[in-house]
Amino acid sequence: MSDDRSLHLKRQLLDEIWDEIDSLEGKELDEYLASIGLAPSGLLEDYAKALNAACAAPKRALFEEARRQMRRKISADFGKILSFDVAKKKEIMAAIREHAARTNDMTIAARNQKLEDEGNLDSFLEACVRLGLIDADGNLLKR
Amino acid sequence: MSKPIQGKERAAALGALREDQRKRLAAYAQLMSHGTGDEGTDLLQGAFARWLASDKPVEGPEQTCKYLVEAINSIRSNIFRHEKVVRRLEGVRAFAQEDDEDDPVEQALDPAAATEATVYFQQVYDLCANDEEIQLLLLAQLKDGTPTEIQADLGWDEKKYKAVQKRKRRLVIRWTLEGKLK
Repeated sequence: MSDDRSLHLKRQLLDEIWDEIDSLEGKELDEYLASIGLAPSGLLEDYAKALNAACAAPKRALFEEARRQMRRKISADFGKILSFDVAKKKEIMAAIREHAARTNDMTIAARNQKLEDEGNLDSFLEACVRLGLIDADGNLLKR
Repeated sequence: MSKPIQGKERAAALGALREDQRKRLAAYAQLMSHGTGDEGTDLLQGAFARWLASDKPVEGPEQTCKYLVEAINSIRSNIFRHEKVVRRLEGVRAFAQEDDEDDPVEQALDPAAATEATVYFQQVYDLCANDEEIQLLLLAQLKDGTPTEIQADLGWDEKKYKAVQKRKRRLVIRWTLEGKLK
């Protein structure tokens, strides 16, 4: 048996699987499918399930990409704001407090009213960036 | 990342297939998934994804169906080809990778394909041990005879030829579902 011939025949036998299924319709198709253990209603459900998943996949991919970009941006923003010297950080903190007191837009938790060390200050500023209250340069963002 | 959906037209074409066409495609995907390690719905979803990302114009349900059948076949053979390449290069892989598709390594020529095709034919032939007519038909097809030539060679009329063909096809489908053929 030549290699080409056996490859061709295997392909032909596989193609015939579709030819056979494709040759049937209506009740005859349902009966045949049921006879080989494939419930017609279950096949319709499979089709719908696969279609929904395929249609949702690109949207999910876009969402995941947007989320990754946001994470990268926030991460970069943290890096910038945390690199400021303590005086600059305190200045940003004061501006946030002043803004909070003036607008009543937000309430600063009591534990954050008096920050003991730079670590606490960094955590507070990180939270403000995450919340979209300030940008990477420490500027208050208008809402 | 795959191309975005080009409008709702392509998705609508998938939703517009008749019930019989949907059943056939789901059944075919299930049959073709045997031995791949994937579910039929995975193959179907992959075929839909290719259709949604394709530049091929939307024509009619028959053309859409044909595209999906070819996509299922292609995804199936990619799975087998990829498995063989991975096995050859790294041993049996422990788990599937998310970005398995479109791996250029998969495109490498498979020197074992012809041997496997011969084994496949032999399996079908042996499984037909109780049906001499199907075995005769298989041997005649192996010689590349046309339906008319085969009928003449075997002294069958068209009706008989079609009946034996049908029996053979249905047995191949059954054995595929039972995992006897891959």
